[in-house]
Amino acid sequence: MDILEFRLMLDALGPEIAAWPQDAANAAVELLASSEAAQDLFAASVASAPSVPDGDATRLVDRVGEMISRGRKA
Amino acid sequence: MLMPNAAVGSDTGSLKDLREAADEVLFEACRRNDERAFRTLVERHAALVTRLANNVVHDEQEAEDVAQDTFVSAWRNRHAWRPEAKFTTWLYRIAVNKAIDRYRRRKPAPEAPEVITRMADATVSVDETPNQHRSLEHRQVSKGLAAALDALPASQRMALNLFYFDELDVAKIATAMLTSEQSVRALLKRGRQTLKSRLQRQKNFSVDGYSGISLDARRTRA
Repeated sequence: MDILEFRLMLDALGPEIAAWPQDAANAAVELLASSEAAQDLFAASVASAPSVPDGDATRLVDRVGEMISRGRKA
Repeated sequence: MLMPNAAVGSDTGSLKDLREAADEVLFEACRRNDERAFRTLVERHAALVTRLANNVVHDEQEAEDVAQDTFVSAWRNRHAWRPEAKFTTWLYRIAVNKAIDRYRRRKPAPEAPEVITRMADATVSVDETPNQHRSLEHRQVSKGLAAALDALPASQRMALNLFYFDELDVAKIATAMLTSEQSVRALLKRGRQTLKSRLQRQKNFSVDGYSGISLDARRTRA
């Protein structure tokens, strides 16, 4: 898959790659692994896609804070 | 009040200052080991980073783990970030790469025929130029998309091809197709919708149909 196809797939199917046909999803992941332009396109697509309201991030924030503090002490 | 582009000191910034500061200003403070500034960044971007990950791994718990790994990695590699780069671009790239790692780890091992095909392709590619190899790969990974495109009505297919693969803008496509820009927009919209339903049918077929069944079993079935 190249970036042009990837853009078309994003526009047609949306950014939920896990819901794409398996071969297309695998090809998209390979492209994402090697192309920063594809990564940026994907991030922009996710940011603009309609989504359910995001949940509470407190737990994640606390977990990250803990990991960082632990790293500092180690 | 601290302006969005003003510096955030490790001890001086109030909570309000932190919340109003630009990402890059906060991350500069992180590079001076300001954990409060980093916490603000995590709070600000946790939702989108988690959503990015979930779009790849399709599992909320795993997506949260990916988000955690992403932020920890951003903190650990904070000195690798260059201030001229947009912070979110850098962060989202980390997130996508972490999500891809998860996706790949989870992917089942390919079945034997698939391995043989890949080996055959690898042998062929030895004598090919890089471009030929790319086009071969292109044709393989695009089989599903090419089939879905081929099955579209001609006008939709032409509009999509000109827009996505020849990268023409709507005005130029309208000129090429001797129609109005409004019609081109309608063709693109309908084309994407038709493509979506055909690709989803392909996915349903692979999920409900032959997936996971050996070649022999498929022959028996047929």
